[in-house]
Amino acid sequence: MEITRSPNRLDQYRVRLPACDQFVRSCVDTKLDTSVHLATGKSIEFPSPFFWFDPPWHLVPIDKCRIFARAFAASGIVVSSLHRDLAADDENETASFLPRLAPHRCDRAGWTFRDFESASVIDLRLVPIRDEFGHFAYHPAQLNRWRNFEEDRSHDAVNATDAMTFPPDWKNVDNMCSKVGQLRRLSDAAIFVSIDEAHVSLMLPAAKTANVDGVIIRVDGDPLETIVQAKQQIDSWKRPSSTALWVVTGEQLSPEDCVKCFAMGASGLSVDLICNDLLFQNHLRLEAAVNQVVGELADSVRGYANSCNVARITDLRPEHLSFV
Amino acid sequence: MNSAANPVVHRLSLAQLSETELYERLAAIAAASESLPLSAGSIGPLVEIDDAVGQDAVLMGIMSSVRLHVKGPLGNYPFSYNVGADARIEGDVCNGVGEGLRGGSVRVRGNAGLGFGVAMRSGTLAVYGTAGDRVAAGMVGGEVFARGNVGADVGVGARGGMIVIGGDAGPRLGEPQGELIIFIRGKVQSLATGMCEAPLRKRDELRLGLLLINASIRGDAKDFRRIVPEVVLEQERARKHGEVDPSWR
Repeated sequence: MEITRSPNRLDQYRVRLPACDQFVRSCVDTKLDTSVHLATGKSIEFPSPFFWFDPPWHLVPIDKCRIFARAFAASGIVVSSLHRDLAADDENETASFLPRLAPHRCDRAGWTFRDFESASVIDLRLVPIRDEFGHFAYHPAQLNRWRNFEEDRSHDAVNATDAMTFPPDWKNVDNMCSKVGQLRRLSDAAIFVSIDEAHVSLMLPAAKTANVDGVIIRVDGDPLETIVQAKQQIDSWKRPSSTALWVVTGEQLSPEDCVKCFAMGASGLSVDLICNDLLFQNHLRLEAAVNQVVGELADSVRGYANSCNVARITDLRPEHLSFV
Repeated sequence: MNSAANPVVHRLSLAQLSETELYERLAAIAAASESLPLSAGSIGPLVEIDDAVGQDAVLMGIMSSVRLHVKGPLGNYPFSYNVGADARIEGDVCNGVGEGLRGGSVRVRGNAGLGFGVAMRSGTLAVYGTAGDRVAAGMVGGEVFARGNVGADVGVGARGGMIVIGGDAGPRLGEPQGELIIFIRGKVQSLATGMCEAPLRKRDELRLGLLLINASIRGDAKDFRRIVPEVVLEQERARKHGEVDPSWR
């Protein structure tokens, strides 16, 4: 189903100015940390609402991948990676990559049992991702990175391999329920499902039945319409604690737009373009570069949220925006 | 015969034990068995699992070397990501059986649903009835046996391993992008694009014969045909010396 939207919905809103007819004392500092409440009753804390959804780990040397994963994790970004993306078979080393989002793809490509053990979030990734040629396929370098550990590996992959776009063990989306049950039994992580914006109306009811802890929606253009639509559905589920709504945007949002998205209901936003840019640059001091870029984004978002006089980013509401 | 080698048969109930308790008991049984003299403990202790009534996602992630005998049907995803267990199930199973299997074996004396052996990496999976669509999808290694018929898209996305089919196969059999080998005895509705039928080689006959014995499946290896990617067959034909004309002569 095609979603019709205004070209720039985000531009139609601005972060509301403080009241001009009364004194309002501002908060000292707005906290950016968020938490995801699991259906099991536990909750997982995240230092920031930003995440790196699809790092191209296979395109950079593995040592650099590890340094980046560690640096971004240290700066509070939830980083998507499998053990085999980072070739991290050392438990202590793996711990330094947390918080970690582990993509559980339709065909389980690259997945190992250890991913159940150390992920903060398991992303049941039903959203197919195109390669640079438009295929739903895995890059040979990606396959070889994953296959580095195979005992029976006979030769390197030289061609891209088709990726599955639907789990082969499912008859229809109703099977999400038992899949989520399986993941819960094998892991203490939060179970998210990631989908495309075009599939919101089809997949969210299935996600509700499956009792997922969060939903990740990938949006190509303006995310506001999708956020509003998804948030309305999630709120209608009437759960004791709200299901997380993370959004992957096709372009990097400005700090003000990030605040608008949080106000409209998003609880996490991707920062893939910022992170990918850094990944392909050569910095002498990677950690410092990461800290600077992520710190600037966080400071700006904190500043806009602070101007709304909220103590936490999660306290932002649509009332904090005004329509122009 | 098994009870003579392992006189103690343990019994555990899926209805009475919590998941954690079940795994702890299995680990304790395996550990106790390892302390026994080699002759008694070498094939692993036998554990009978009662009260199987189609539960989803049970007996997963088992790393203990135990023999499991499950009496009754199981639901989706049983035996996922197991390493050391050898399991026998008297009943039907649903979807995703043996997902990501890393070793050991699973023998289903019944029928299996969709994605039997999806993404398995090693070990042996056998179903003595029929299996649904997409058997061994995304398989990396190991062996899958189906005595009866199988559904559509068997082996789709597989990058390695072996599938042996005793009955007929549905449409689009095989995966041309990997190194998957399929042996089939019955009819094939259609092959996946890029797959072809190839003559059974002597070494295949030998290997298949041993595998059939190992999976307790009766039949002569000569009754099977080999299905491989066209690329693989071309490479075989391009070799100057084949198996009946070795270069060292």
